[in-house]
Amino acid sequence: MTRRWTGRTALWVALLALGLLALLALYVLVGSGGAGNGPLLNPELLERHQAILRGLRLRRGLLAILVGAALSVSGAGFQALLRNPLADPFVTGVSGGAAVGGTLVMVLTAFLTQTLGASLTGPAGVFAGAFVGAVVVALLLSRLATAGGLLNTNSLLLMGVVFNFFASAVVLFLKAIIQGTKLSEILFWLMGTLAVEGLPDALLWLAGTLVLLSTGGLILLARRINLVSLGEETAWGAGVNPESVKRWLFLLSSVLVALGVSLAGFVGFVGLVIPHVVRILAGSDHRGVFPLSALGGATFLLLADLVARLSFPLAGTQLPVGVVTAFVGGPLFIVLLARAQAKGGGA
Amino acid sequence: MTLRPTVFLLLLAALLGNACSRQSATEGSKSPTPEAPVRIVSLAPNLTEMLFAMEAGDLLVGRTMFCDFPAQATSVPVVSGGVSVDIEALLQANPTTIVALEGVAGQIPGNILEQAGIQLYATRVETWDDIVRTLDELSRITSRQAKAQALIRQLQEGLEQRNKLSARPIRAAILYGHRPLVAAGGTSWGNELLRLAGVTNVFADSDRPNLQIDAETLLSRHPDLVIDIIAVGAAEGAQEFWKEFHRQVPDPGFAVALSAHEALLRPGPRVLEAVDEIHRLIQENSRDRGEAP
Repeated sequence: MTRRWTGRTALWVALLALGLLALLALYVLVGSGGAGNGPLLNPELLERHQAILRGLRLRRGLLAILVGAALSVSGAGFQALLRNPLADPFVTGVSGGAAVGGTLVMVLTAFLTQTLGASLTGPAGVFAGAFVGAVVVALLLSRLATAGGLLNTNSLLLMGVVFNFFASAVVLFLKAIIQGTKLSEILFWLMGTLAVEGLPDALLWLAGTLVLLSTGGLILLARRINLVSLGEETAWGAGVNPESVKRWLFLLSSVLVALGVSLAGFVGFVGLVIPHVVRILAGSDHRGVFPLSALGGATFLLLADLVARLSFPLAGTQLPVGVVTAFVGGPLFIVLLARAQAKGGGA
Repeated sequence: MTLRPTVFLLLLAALLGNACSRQSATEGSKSPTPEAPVRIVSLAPNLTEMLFAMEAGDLLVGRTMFCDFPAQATSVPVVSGGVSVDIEALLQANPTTIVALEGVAGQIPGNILEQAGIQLYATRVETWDDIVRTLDELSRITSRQAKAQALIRQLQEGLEQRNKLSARPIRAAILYGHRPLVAAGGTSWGNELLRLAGVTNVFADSDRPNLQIDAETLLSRHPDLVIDIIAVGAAEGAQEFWKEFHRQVPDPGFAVALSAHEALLRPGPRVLEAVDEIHRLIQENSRDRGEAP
């Protein structure tokens, strides 16, 4: 059996894990002013201070880690599946399904409350709607892109792109028939938000478990993914069924996108940029790419959200975290691509 | 003859620039000029309310689907969804005047209005002064000056009476959304309402209408009361949200009051109702905490 990690990968895993912990500590200690730093010495303010640290900052930090890891690993997964470095979590239509599901729940909530006085639970309802929407679309696209028992990744990509256009039309329609505060809620969700206020702990635990299981599944599958990426004949030759690998890769990556979008809406660039950076740093062996993408995505989103949280005094409003990731991720991706081209290869 | 790309782009830019300047010139020429018989399409619920309040509702020939107050307004044909304007439906109503808020008015092509001979009255209504000015300008369009002046006087007197009722200083925040938390900033109608009710908006220093915040930022402003404006019938979901919030932050140092009163969202003639609603929320909260209102 080949060695699991090279020395370089192990070094990066250790560095990123330490960096993530240090960043989380900084994230919890620094805030927009509610906690300040003095209350630690003031018993009267200590209780509220601890509530801010544990109840708000730590939970939000953990949510950022979960979403960052989910999006980044799913990006790496889709790039491997589609053999396309431009693939990101939002290209396959799964995210479109999540957007339609989540938005539909928000609109239905407004409709039901206005007409029947009934109520769907807030964040948990949106999470459930988005997750179910994403999984249903993933299964549907997977079925449609399969012919003669073979998953055609080109068809999958094409159908995904087309479905995303359809999904945006549905979301636009839903936005057009809703008004007032609900409309802004939908817009903010679609822009990406890591707001944890009112988000039940059970939901975070459930999502966290699923992210861990899906990422773990991809890491276990990594050696076989390496073989499939060398060519399906090579995979068959090594006793690996590439169809089975592709299906699991699609399913697990889709679950991760579903979780990321359901928890935080559309946070762009994490799933596109981080796997590229990881491959530049530690090579393209998926046994290293998946864990490093998880750590890198978590670190990147945690840092971006720290900037978003601290943006309030400067911007006069808290920037959506998706804006920060796009500001950093966009130029970074272009630089990486340009450097790779200058060296005469792909990123 | 070959056309160089740079020359082509310059020509294109010049053409576009020309088109834009013509559009601006058309918009600049819009001004309310009363002509009889006046047929009005209202593209904002608060402007519809103003027209009915000055007894000019009979002049309305079109409204948005969200113009639902007073009840008589719902019998007027719908010509707009509120966010986007259906120009064809709007023209079919055959109006002489369209009244709209500035953001929506920009969607209506000036050349079409010019061809159809329709006057466009665009306004901004975010403060009490804006309400007075708009009522005054609408009254000139509808020739209801006397009614409008009487209404303005009545509202002014009502506000003065209510001003005298405010006892102790209260610091409050108005929230419009939960995930993320969206608060009323210093240039919002919510801020103006709090001012009219004698209450300090903890985000009054912001130069934005609405701002996205997190709970920590809210706590740092130390409000006494958070007024959570919710959709009709959405109280259960909001209560769930605040229950979870209080589990996360057991003693946030502020009380929460939910309200689904529409007037809180519509700067218009129901301003007294809106101020009364804020006072009611403060009183209820004071009673709950055993304080003198």
